[in-house]
Amino acid sequence: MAEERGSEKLRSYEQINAKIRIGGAVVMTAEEFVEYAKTHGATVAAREVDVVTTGTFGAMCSSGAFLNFGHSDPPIKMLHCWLNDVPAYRGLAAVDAYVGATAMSEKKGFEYGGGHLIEDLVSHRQIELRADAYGTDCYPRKHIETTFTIDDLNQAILLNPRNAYQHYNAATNGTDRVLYTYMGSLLPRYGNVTYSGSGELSPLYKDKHFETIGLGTRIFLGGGIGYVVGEGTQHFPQQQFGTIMVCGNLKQMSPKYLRGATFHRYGTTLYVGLGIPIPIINERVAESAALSDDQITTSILDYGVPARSRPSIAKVSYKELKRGRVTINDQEVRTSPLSSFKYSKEIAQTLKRWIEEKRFLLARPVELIPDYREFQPLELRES
Amino acid sequence: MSRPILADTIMKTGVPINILEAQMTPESGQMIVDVPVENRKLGEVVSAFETEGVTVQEIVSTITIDFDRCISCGACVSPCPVSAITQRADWNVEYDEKKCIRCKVCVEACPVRAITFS
Repeated sequence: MAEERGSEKLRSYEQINAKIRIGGAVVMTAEEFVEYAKTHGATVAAREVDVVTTGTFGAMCSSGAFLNFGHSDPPIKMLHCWLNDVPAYRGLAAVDAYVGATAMSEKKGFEYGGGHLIEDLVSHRQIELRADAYGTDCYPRKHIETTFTIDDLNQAILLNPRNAYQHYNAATNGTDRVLYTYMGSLLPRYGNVTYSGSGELSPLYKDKHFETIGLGTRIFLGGGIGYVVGEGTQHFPQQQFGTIMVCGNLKQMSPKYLRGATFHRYGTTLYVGLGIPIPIINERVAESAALSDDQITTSILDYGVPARSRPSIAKVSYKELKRGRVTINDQEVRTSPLSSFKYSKEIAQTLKRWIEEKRFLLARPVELIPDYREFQPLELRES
Repeated sequence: MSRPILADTIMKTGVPINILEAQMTPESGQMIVDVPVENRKLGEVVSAFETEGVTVQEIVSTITIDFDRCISCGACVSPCPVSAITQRADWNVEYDEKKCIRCKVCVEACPVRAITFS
């Protein structure tokens, strides 16, 4: 790149925010911008539009929340802790815990997990807390059982280590039996295709080279405001599998955009609503934001092969996937998404409205997300 | 239980009856079948079963989608083997009861448990 990554050649964050403050910023959703760039050309679109809003609402397993319960009298240093029978991680200070979306209830199993617990928390429902301890001179209590709601907590912070994959593989099944996977139910003999990611609405695909996204980027998260912390786990931008780590105050989020979910015979997870405003700071960002569903491709993998590297059956665009049918081995196969496009559109529109109503300003990241990262497998070594 | 009642009924009426679910014990049995005909022909199948001493009950129950819970994701759509569930252009989910064969694949596929079978 001749120009430095993140160059603000067309407009700066300060200029954009100044326009937002007087209600003069030109904001479009990613879908609107794609259409606008098609009609008027990317150069004109880049010159005229200040911000493009994006959105996605999909199952994101690497999600969870830090909670602080406050101290009981006498106090306890929890060794194990359960919330509605879902075990929370307790390798932290006395009354801090982390509940992950895929942790499952010890009584209800697949039917209730950390994702459902987070939905119950943001719904202000009562939660059962149970914990045990070995007791210390400073924390003498050995057992606690009580109830609380999110309003009783000192902090409830959503911190998701990996969200919003730029795009994701589509899934099918070449075996003779139904497979139940994190990509949903897959019928035998290539009976259907499921896919994830929101295509031309995808937050990280709309800034493909990560020129505007990094530590400190303010975003729509779970119905409230959140921030990008940095690259997510398994970030692999060279193949458009970039990811982000995000955080935000759970207390101001909504159960509409944080939904507990179960994939049959796979486990529990959390549907997360996430939207990023992309400031059109230079022409490369505009070109990326103008990418349409037919320009965003993915591979259909055979999940019937129980190996790390699954064979690719076909390469398709999101336009083909969204049409509802693709061709595999000369046969028409039905496709359907796992991410909700209805909610993804709503998120992009909501973010647009917040900016237009001057309720949301853009933040220049302190450090951009890397645009190159090796993605290493785990090699097994003999000890 | 010693006679092949279902096979006899298919032969007698010429209707390709499809078994969706069957539970058999040495004393009795219960089956859910799809009878792909209507009106007089359906009456013929029902009376053929009844002549053999089978109690016939039409299953009116079906799947129910709770649209307050549904997030319109589409996880139930492509797994439906008969395209009884589809998504409209606005991605809202639609259900066509006439096509449904009550296989319950959608009930399992729904990640937010918005589909129930009753």
